Amino acid sequence: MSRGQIRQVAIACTASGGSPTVMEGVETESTPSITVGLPPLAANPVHPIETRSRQETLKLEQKVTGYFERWREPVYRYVVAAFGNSAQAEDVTQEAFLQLYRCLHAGQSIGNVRAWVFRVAHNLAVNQIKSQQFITLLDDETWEEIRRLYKDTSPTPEQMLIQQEKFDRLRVAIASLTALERQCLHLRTNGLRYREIAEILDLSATTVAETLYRVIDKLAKENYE
Amino acid sequence: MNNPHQRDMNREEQHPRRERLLLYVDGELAPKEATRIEAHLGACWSCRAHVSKIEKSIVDLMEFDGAMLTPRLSTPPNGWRGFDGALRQVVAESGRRSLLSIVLGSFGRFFSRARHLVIPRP
Repeated sequence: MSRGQIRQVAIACTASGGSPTVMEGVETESTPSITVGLPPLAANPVHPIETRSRQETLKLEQKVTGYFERWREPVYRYVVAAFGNSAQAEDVTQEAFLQLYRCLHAGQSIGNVRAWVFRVAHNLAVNQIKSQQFITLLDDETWEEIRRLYKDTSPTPEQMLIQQEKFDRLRVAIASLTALERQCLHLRTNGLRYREIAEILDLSATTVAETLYRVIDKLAKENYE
Repeated sequence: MNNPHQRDMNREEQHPRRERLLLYVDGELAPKEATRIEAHLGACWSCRAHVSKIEKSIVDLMEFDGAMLTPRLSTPPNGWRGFDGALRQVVAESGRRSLLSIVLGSFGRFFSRARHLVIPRP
């Protein structure tokens, strides 16, 4: 994908931000609203690009570097876990933060930077990493290697065996999830709230709640039934 | 049935839908519904067992995530080495003014000054 195409994806992403979805009966007070879309220019006066000083540019660069250092790992983890390609995931993650710089430099106001970056990374991944499956991340060979390296803290060999069997079952259960289920699950494990996940995946919060329940139900069935 | 207290009691006795229990565990419910479910859980062992099952699944999942996925996902193949250079390039590109913006900017400043010369300030 060329840089121009990537820019189009990100612009399409920001333009389709829209208003936050609200789920009936879901707590709305504790979760901050997400401003992903472009704000009206009149309401948010910004420095024109021509007048941005070198000092301001440096400050913005440092700000974006700070965001990158803080959130690159969760974003990368999400992209690999949901789309299953670590090499492309690194590029996608970096490009999402470069897009962040471009948008902030252009004067765009972004209310929830973390959700914004996740959303841009998700859209880039959807376009670039099309046919990957989670199972490619944990194929049999990789799985055996991870199991070998895993330092078990179980006090007895029996407990260690039980723990490893549980992980084997979870691996199978997670590999059987649909793409949407994997995406919701890995956004949630990275600490995103339902309304943020809804914004990132362009879904209703109700769909996110139903999907996450389906995931938990599948994992519980695999583990306890 | 018109007695409000009786109505509340009945509502408390109804089992919430299973999906609502996950929302309850995740702190995603409005305070009113969260309080109602909490009261129901105080009385209903069946729903409490289901909440425990949900919580156990979350614990197992996060254990799996921490033990099996995190070691594999902590470092990307290139170790983020490309980012600083790419950002510097984007900064340079963004700072470079296009010829059109320079021309338009000059016109804008010229007309702004000309307007003040032609139209005296009040």
